[in-house]
Amino acid sequence: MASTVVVLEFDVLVERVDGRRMSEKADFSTQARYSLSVSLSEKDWKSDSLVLAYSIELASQPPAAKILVAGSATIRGPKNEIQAVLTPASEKVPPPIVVTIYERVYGMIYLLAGSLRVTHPLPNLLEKGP
Amino acid sequence: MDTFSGVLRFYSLQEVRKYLKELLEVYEKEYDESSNKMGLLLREEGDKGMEVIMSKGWTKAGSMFVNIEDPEKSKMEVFFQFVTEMKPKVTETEEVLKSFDRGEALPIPEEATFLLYLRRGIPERLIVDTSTPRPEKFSFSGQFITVSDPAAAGN
Repeated sequence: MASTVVVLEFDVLVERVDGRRMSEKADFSTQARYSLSVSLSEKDWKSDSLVLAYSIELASQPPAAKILVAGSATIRGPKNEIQAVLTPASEKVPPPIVVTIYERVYGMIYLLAGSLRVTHPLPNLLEKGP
Repeated sequence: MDTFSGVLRFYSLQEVRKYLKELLEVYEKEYDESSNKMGLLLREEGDKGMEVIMSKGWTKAGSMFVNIEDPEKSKMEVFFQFVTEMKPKVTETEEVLKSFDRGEALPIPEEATFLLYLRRGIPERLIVDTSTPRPEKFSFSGQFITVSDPAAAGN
């Protein structure tokens, strides 16, 4: 039996990047945990697309660096499928759209961490922080 | 050419104003382009002037008029009619936009949405609707954790 696969299109645009080194002693060998503050807000929602403004701010613990990436993300597809990626599977995990945006901007974050000479955060968001 | 008749819903007066401005820009552009084409055609026809605009050879086919005999003159006639009809559209839409400021000064409830009625492309009425709520906009914020690359730490 044939089944229909619905594919959403994602377009993530980076509009602002900021990186700061917070400690003179930090280097690539410093083990650190990164906490992320993520915010999304609706800019425009049409029948087949949603434009979101996003902001992802990473802060390492112990304090070594702060990295900010912000911009806009467009999701195209059926409204119910768009709604599905906005909703997390559980309270402990991020909504799928947050994971997608993070994956798309991770390259930028990786380069920034390298330029700041601090430990690179991992490409996956593990769980909801405190 | 925008000859839309109907009702549009907006969720703020700013959106209504933006729509009216864009509508006026479209009309002004169409009017200017058509006027230029009209002027060009009239210059090409030289002294014939008004005589050219009244073309002959229109045949009624159903509820529509068709001209096979004289396409050049009938083109001019149609353009002239179009320009004549566009002029009041530009003027009236401009007037609506100017008078919009007076509407914005009225005591409008914060939660109101707006229905704009257009008749044949001209904004005619604005309804301040407090019975239909604005849809909630999506927003999300959260804190998450990732860890550093264990290989870099020698683990």
